[in-house]
Amino acid sequence: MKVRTSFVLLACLTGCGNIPRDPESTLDHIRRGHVMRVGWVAGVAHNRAGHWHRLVTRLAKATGSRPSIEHDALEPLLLMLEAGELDVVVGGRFAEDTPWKTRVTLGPALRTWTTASGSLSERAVARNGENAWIIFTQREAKALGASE
Amino acid sequence: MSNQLPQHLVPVMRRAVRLEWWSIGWTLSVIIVMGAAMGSSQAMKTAWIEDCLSLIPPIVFLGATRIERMSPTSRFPSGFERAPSLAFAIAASALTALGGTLLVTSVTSLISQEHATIAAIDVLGREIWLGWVMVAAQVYSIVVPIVLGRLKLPLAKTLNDKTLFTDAMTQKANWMTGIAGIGGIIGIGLGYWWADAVAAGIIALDILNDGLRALRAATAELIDGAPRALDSNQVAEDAVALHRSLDARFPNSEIRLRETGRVIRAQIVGAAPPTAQLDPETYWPGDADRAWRLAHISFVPSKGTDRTPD
Repeated sequence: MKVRTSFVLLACLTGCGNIPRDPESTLDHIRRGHVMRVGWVAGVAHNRAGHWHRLVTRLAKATGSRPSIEHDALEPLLLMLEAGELDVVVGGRFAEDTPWKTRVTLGPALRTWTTASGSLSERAVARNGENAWIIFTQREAKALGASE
Repeated sequence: MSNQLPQHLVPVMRRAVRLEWWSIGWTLSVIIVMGAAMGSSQAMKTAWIEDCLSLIPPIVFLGATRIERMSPTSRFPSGFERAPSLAFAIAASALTALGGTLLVTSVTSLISQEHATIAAIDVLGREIWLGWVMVAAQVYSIVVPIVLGRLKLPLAKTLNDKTLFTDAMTQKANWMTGIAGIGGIIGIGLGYWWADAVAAGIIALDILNDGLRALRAATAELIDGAPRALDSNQVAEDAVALHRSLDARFPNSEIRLRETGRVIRAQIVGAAPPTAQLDPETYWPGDADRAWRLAHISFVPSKGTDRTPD
């Protein structure tokens, strides 16, 4: 009986639409406020043909927002992202075993190259747990040819 | 030795052994499916660790049933009849360790406010939220222990086998974990980051409770405490009845009951043994089908005692 009740409850829950949602409502805030807070790694070019520029433009267009860009080194930007002060960080290069991958969510690789000490890849970064926003940014990155 | 199973229980034991082999096979399949879909969900990890540890009771049960049948040797003159007691203690320790570990992990995850990321994957060109894949894996992980647990429970009761009973309880904990795990994943999907850790914590508390109860009973058995019930730390009902019956038969003597594996051993201190050779089973007060539970009676004289039974 308990099992049956649990399954009925589960079915009711799964009936709720818009799954997954963001615990901190990142995607909703961007759509409603029309502002997307972007951390841009200092020194990374803003040229229009560059993949970072194209990604930010796609995200802004798809959410109906304008990007509000913050420039800094990678780690300060990731700390701001973790604290919820940014929505996405672009321009970062990460080693495969970067310790950041447990603290933030790395998107698919837009570019990857191998160096003598290992491979590095460029990935957009989102705050952990903001699952709707993470899926959204990953979808846009994949549309630009990014791969896992 | 006296711990040999009575003839009518041999097919039951054979069935239990066969079930445990099936149990190991199915549990391995659950571990693979859950491992593949685990992601970074705490409840999924909790359930996966639990699935791994749930292999311990069937393994120790199979080991113990093999060992207990071995003949006594000069190094083990009393045989290996206490192997099930040791197996029970190991199974109970595994359950307790499991509950404790999972509780600490869930609380840590709640305190550090870990927000589990569950992204999407591409399946045949379609984007699917990984949470749904996890839910499907959890459903599979629920069905297997529900079936196995229900099959094991009556066998454990017939054989009075605590390891098998603990195993059935572990299966119950497993499917409860699965349901709570699904709740946790759906909770994350609905935007409640804490749902996952809370679900894992509730399951962990339940497992810890079962484990501690089993561990208390296992410890009592290892230090020759009175025989405990299968599902609690209370003295077993049949042991209470036996004690009462022996008390009446040997008044003013001290009755000591202990359990080795599945069987009870009685020691009567301060009474002389009856002159006629009697089978221990003739002292059993209840259902004759369960008389095998009393495997051994010994009489220990005490100073100035020469009472004979009625």
